[in-house]
Amino acid sequence: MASDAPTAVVELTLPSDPRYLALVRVVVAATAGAVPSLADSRVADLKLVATELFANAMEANWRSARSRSEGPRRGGRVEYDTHPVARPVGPEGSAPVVVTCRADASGVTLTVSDSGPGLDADDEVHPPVEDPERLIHERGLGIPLIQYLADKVDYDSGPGGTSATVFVADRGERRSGT
Amino acid sequence: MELSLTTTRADSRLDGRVGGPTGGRVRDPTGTATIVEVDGAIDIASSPRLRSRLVDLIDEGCRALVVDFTRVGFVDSTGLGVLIGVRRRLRAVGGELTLVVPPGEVRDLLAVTELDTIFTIRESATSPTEH
Repeated sequence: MASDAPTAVVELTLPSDPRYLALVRVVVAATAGAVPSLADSRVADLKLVATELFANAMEANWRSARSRSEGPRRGGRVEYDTHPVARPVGPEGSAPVVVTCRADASGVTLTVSDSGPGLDADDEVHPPVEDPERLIHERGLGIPLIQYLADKVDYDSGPGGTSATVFVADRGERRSGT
Repeated sequence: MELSLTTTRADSRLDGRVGGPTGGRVRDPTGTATIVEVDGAIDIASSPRLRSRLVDLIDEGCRALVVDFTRVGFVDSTGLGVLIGVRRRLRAVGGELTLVVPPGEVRDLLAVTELDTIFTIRESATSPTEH
């Protein structure tokens, strides 16, 4: 269909560094601007989903780089409490994150790819965003938020990396409690 | 974007209303609420700094903590995690966290996660609490 032809495609290859998160939000919002009827609330959803996906991809790349330098046993979760004030910084040699944002008449498709170790079983089970468990843990809200806000989420994951593709549809205002 | 954090102890703006509907129930040794005005985006790059500031204030004895998000246009899951953790720490020592969040993207995120039913929220620094 002619309406499916992309009106904007942007691809970024960025270092696994949280300083680039603000840039990712600006770029996906600008690309979403190619869908004139996309509601502001959907652009906000897209910025949040992009931020969560980029952060996950960055951490996956950090884990792989750490595994390479310290062996697989040290390649576990990133611990933020060890540097509570400074911006989290990944190890030297972390692979880049590739972000592809594609807008067409139906909405925006965002793909974020890393070269991390791939998703494990724990990564695939997440309680809903309003689960009471969320008040116990300070982390782990990212993937439930992605699942809640995006209209479609696909993970293509293997030992060489994970590629997450989400679709944010042009469907008007989302549910809001305000 | 850099995150700017401004901490004040003056509670004149709040007209003495601190904490939840019972206003003033929380006893802060300083006698006033501590207000932290946040300016910027809160994501994985900046949330460690926010957490550190708020935890330091609790450690220093602040029990009535008001975090003003009026000038925050973006919060991600790590920012929500900071608020969840600070609320838990504060309640453990008999304190209370109040958020100032006007309508907008951040307020919508609190609604989506139903955290707006958990946190004490004001629409503006001078408005009464809603919960």
